Amino acid sequence: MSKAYHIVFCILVFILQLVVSRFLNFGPFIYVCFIPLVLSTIQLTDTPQRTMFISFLFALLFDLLSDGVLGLNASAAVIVAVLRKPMYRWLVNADRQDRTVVPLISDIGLVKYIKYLSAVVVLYLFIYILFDCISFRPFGFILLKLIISTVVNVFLSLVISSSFLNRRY
Amino acid sequence: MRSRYDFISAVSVILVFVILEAVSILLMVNNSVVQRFRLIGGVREVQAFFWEKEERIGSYFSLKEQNEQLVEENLALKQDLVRLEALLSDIGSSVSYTDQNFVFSRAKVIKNSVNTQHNYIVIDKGSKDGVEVGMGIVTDNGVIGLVNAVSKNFARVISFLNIDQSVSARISNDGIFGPLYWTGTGQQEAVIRDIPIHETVTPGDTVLSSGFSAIFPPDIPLGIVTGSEPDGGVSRRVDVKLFEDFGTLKYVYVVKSNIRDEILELEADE
Repeated sequence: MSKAYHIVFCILVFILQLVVSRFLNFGPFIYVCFIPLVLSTIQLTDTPQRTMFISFLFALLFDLLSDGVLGLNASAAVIVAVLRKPMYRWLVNADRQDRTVVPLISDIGLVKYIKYLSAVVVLYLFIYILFDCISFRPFGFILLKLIISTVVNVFLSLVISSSFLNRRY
Repeated sequence: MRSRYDFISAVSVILVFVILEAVSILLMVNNSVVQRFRLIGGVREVQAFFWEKEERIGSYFSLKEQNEQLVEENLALKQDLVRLEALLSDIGSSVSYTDQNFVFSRAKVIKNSVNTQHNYIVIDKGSKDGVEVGMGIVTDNGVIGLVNAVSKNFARVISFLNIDQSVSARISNDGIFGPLYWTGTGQQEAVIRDIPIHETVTPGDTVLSSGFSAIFPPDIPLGIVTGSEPDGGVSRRVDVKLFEDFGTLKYVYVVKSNIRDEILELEADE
């Protein structure tokens, strides 16, 4: 996947996310978020510091433009950015010699890709929902929202990545 | 060299993470009232947890002092209660209250000596106020003296700080009785003499008026036992620290005993 294509992909997902958050409401239990998908496509060869900065700026920009709580997505994105690589190594069973730059379905297989993507989505949503709802909503609500949102987001992210993230581009 | 590089790299990752996360949280807190209250509330809970532990440890070591303070407060409250209950039953009088056989009336100290071996006090109540020779003078903290001269508007009181004066006292927990004398030295130093030598006295016990004299009511707190030692071969002396600070006396109570004349008459018949 070329760098230019990757940047265009991220911009389009960003716009899609803005549209979804501003104009679509899926109820209190579903939070549709494509930011974890973008974070999962950041090159694995990037340093953790660079990954964190990119994630922080991307999520903060979204916070600024989406009229939400400033810093909410950014705080979740930074945590995901720092844990993304260890999670990839653990779930995909990759070693330090793995030369994969951007994890794609065609590179690591569907099952491993779903595992990796689900982990990123769960971690992101967990932090986001925690900061958004803790001590304000009951624990059952938080858990239900986390589970349902994860399932929906993983499904939607899978659809987008299998359609648009491909080596041939 | 490589390990040093790895260390610096790890430190920089942590630093960047902390900075970015802190900035995110700061932005969140500053832009949302809900998150701000939640974060502050969470921080306060953690603080309160540690403060409570610290307070528990501190209060355990100060239990003795707290106990002493509580005892003092309890004493003051009991006395207030007695006075108020009596006041309720004697609403017509503005300066006096009763306690069964004793009538108390307040007086102001207008002269007080504490520097000699035979000290005296002058109060602003006299015969026109019903003060008579032989009446006792007390405060919430102890026996002050005995009226020995009365004029129309004033009365002279032999202070307890007089080496010739004594008060019949009782040591509260032990039930031991004896005359309490001023030692003649420190203003708050007194001694109970003629206690049988076999009696054991515990330092810290409260000394109260016995009520045997018919001049002073019983159970007026006088002082606290500080120690005891044999005195001669057959008796023991008990050292007492007085509660009352005679140097700061301002208001006292004049005690009129309703039963004093009757008791004196009985004693005279013997």
